[in-house]
Amino acid sequence: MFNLTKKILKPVSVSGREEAVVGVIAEEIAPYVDTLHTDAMGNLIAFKAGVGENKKKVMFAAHIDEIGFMVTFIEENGYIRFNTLGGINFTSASFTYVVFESGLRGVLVPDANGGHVVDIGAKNRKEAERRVKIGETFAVVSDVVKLAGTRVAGRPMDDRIGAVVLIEAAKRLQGVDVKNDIYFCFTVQEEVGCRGSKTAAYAIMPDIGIALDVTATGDTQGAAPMAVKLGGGAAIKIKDSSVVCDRGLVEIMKKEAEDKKIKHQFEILTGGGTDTSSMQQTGAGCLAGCISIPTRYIHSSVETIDMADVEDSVKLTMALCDAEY
Amino acid sequence: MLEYKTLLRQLCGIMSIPGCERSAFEDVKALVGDRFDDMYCDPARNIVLVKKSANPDAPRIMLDAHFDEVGMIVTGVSDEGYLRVTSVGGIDRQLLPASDMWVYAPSGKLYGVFACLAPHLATDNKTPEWKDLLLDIGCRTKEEAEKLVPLGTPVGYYNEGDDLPNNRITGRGFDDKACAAGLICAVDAVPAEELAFDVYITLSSGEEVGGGGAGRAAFVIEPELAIITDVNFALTPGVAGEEGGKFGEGPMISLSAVTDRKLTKKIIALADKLEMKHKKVVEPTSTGTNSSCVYCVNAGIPVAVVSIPLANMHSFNESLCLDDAEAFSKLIGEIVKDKEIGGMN
Amino acid sequence: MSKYDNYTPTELLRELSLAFGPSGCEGNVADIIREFIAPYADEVTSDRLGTVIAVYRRAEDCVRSADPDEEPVTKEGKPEIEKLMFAAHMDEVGFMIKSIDGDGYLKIAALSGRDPKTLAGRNVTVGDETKQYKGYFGVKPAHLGGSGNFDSLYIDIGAKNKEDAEKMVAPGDFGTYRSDFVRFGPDGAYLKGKAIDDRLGCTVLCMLLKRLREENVKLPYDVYFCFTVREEIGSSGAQTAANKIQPDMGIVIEATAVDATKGEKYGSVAKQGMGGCISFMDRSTIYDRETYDFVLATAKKWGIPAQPKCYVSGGNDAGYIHKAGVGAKCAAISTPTQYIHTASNVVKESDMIAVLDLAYAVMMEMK
Repeated sequence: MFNLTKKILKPVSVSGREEAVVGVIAEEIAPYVDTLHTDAMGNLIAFKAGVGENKKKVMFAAHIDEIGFMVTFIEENGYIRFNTLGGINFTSASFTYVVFESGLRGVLVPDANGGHVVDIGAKNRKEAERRVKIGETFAVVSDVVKLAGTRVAGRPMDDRIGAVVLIEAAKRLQGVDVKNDIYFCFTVQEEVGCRGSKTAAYAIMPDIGIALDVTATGDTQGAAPMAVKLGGGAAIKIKDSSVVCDRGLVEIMKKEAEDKKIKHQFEILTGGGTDTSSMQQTGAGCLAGCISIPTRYIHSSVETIDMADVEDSVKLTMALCDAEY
Repeated sequence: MLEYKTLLRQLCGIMSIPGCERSAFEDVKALVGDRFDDMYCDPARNIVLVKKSANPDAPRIMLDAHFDEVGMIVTGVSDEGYLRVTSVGGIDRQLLPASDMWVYAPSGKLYGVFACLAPHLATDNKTPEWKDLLLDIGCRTKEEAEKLVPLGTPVGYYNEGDDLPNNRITGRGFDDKACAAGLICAVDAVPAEELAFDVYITLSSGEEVGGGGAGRAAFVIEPELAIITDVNFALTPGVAGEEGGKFGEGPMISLSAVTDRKLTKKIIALADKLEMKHKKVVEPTSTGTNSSCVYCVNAGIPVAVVSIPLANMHSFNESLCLDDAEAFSKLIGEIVKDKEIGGMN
Repeated sequence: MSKYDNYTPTELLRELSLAFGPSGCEGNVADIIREFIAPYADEVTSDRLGTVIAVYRRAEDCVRSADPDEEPVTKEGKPEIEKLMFAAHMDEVGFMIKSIDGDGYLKIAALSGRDPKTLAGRNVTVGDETKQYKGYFGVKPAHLGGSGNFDSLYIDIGAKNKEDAEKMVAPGDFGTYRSDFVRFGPDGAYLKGKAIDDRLGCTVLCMLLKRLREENVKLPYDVYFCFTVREEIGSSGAQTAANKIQPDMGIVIEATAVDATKGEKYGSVAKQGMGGCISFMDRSTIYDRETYDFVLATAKKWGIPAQPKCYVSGGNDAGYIHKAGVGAKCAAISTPTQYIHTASNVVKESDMIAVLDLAYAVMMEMK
């Protein structure tokens, strides 16, 4: 899975400009599913039909956008001003390399007034304008590094690692009959307010909605007390600031994990929301839950995960494809 | 005939912290299920009670009162065996030290009390953070507490409530079961022949956490009209005169850009006709209720907001005046009989 | 026969906890205590402030030293005394009604403790010994900014307006928390209620007296069980009772604050479940060292859990008893209590029993 992870994390796909990563994912998942399409928002939806008698529509959602920046203005001296997309951690983003949609590189640095600018090495506005367009997006350069044991650091784990889980689950289910109709959705624009998953959910009107996303951990430096541990297994969400998960579904998820002996833990995230809420609140509503991948230093350049947790999340996803709801 | 106060106390006895609304369904069903034509719990955890009009062409009206109540859930256990919690819904943390709670553990409900430094030893008057609020359930080791209380266990207020003079009552969970009880009593008392509507009472989910289950219910029911009912601020010290309703002076009716003016005017006219005291309250862009998630569902639904004044909102000791609640219930009963309102669209 | 004959200590504590008795208005508590002790005391009197004093007389045939100049401590290290005074206070933290506003809400003045966090939203009782009304502290809704400070607190008793409220209460009436008495925790080991500080001490005194009488214990000294008033506002009741009795020794049965939330690493005061806390010093008293050693030694000899109170803070009735008249040796045995001065005091039942046993053992050791 490490190679797949590297591949999926590579494309620059800031919220609203996810085409690059959609292409990569579509190519990866196509062999394992029945149909594949993108909707008007740009969500990629992969479908695998179920064979169960009382089959339900189960929607899995992993968002594939990443936090980043959009060019707003180019100064006389060639420095680039920008706006942010999603919650940027400037402590991490300062003095780093950034990469534009075109592949052009630059460096993001603080300015004199407490703000930040990007330097692409252009001598003046004219030269910069030849390389960069107003409205173009860019992000901190992606990187994936193996740490000790099964742990991996890099960006953007949030939430490409969720996409990795879905692709891997689809791959392992190739040729396997599952009970329920499965929609693997790779959603757009989550970081700017869970926008993509709303339309995906409206089109599908699922009975069950399960997001795959990262969650904070209590063992992060300086973290408030929190029960989630890195390496503690797939985290079953109970609540975050956007959603209180359906207790019945939480029980089903717990039971599946216990029956299949999948290492798991429970998550109550006091800050931050996920696609879970938009699935729960679209159309007639649905039973919504979330499998979270424990991640340290979320929204930094060194988001750190444990591949063992990813493995557990894949297994739980597979179990939920085949579960009785 | 259902008796309002009895029903309210019964409903308040049903724990319905956000996320747990579904478990409340059977309890509500046991209380009033046989008095309605249909009753179901939808995927968005709304409890819906249906009473059909004898007229097969009657329009549909949705009467909404949210059924979830503010509460907390367990997020962890300290090394000394105390529970850590966080809120589901808006809770004033200042009120929590040394206050009594119910912990709804799998083995049954357990008493708990938030730890508190002796007030005469307290060195500051800061609002405690959630991480500093530790709930004592009489366990003094982490293992002991973890065995009893899994993560995510709901925690709710402990307060049986009292009767005060002048028909005033206190208790927990009146927001918004005060309206839920009023709606059920009102509709129950109207025979099908007199109903101008097919009535859908939605005891909706997730209002306190912005989940807006009512919007999902409206999407499915597709009502022609909706009355959103909720509690509003009673006129007590600290509440501005124009914002609050005085106890004993009837229900409150919202004037807002998100409510339907025609429907609101008809309701006010009806209250005037009944010579019922009521308070008009101006809430320009938001009524702070489910109206915001219902009015723009489907092709749009005309909504009005009617409320009951409540003191100490969201605390463990909410208080209302039964006269207001009964007037509220009477007004709802008249609305569902009103053919003119029914023929509005 | 009184209705209390078969009460367990916890049942009596419950009854006393629920009684209304803020400082200066202890009559209801005194009534329960008087009824309980009547069958067991040789004499029940009172001082002029309202402190209830029950006397258990020495046995006539007990041999005492005839020499008045003899050292007050015998060779065996036991204090030799004529009059032993036990003190526990009946009053609880509360407040007084200061004024009634035009809408019928009550404004209050604190009798002790001004932390609005532990008052706002709470159920209260207001009134006096003869009439009591239910009410609650009003809260500004969280949506509008929350409960604020002490001065903005008010009580709602359901009155329609000032006139209506005046039919029920008047400025100068008293108030205190109203809070259920609950047994909780694994095995029901903990008890929660209001005013456990110091109705637990009252309970211990009542039960001690009952035990002495039932076992027909013969003591060479008189024992005065004093249920004092107004401890929370400066121990005036203990002062007058001690002045009246002029004891040789005073033992105060109290509640002391502990904080179990932080664990041992913060050097907490005392631990619940380890028995009564024996004070060597607090802000009102430097306790007699020999008596302190004697009480701890007695606990050890009898196998009763007890612990030193290793934190110098607070004060209690001993502050006046040890200075009254020619002075008295003093000891304080305190039950470790959490969340003291709130509506929810929490004690471990086993600690109460340990305090009761230790007080009994101390008396036996002084025979």
